[in-house]
Amino acid sequence: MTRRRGYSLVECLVAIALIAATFTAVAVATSGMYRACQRVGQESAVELELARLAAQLRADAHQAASVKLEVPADSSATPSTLSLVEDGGRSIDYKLRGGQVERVVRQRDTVGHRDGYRLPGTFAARWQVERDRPLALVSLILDPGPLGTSGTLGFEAFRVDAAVGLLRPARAAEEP
Amino acid sequence: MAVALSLALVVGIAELLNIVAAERRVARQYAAAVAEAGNLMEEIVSRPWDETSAEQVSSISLSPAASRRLPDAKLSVDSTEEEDGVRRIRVTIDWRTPSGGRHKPVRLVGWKFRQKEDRP
Repeated sequence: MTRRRGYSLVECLVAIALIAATFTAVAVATSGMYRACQRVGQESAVELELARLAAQLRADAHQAASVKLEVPADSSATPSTLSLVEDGGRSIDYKLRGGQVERVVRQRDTVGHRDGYRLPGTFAARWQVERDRPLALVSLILDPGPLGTSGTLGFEAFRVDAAVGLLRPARAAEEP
Repeated sequence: MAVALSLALVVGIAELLNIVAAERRVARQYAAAVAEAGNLMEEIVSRPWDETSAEQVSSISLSPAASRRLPDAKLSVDSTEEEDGVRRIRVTIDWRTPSGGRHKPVRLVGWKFRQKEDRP
């Protein structure tokens, strides 16, 4: 009777192939999870930024007494600006500048505060103001780019509406 | 044995990724519903008093973008007179999730106060 003293070449090759296949599968899965994780992180950051912008725009619009919209003929050179004017001479400008919204708070002509909100990818942003109602309704509309999505992120159109003067102190005092 | 273990590993990871993706879709749908409810509430409170009655607000519909993002979505807008000059507006949105069930409704409640200019 012959004693077996090891593995044949075929057995070794099969074992190596199986180990390689396992490592490849794990590597592919890990890479996929990493990419998915990155994408979720990016989307969450953009969603958070948009939610912050929406909350700030609503808060400012609710306190404002009036709204003014300046849309230049050449919006690439000059940003379109939405101005929310409050009763005490304070005004807040929202400028659509490139891929971000810039917010400038002024007390008469003095700039008191400035902050910015980054917009996602290739969105085209525009303002809309409806005045055919007791409280003007301001809308910031983000339309997706030509491909229907914003770059690699799967965002669709975004819109935030805000009623101007809803919580205006002078208006509250007029309440019956 | 090794082949079976490899297959189980791959299937398990694929299933895990699938579950994470489905949860992510539901989270984005929820965010879209919350945003839509907020926009509808802003639109309603900016209307004249006469246009916030139960009959008037019941005809409001979802925006086309929200209808696309929320499959089989149902919107309900109620307006109830709480006291003279005060209306309670409730916006409710629910939709079908990727798993086939209905998502727990998103509800937003606001109040509309009659102003001087709204009085006859």
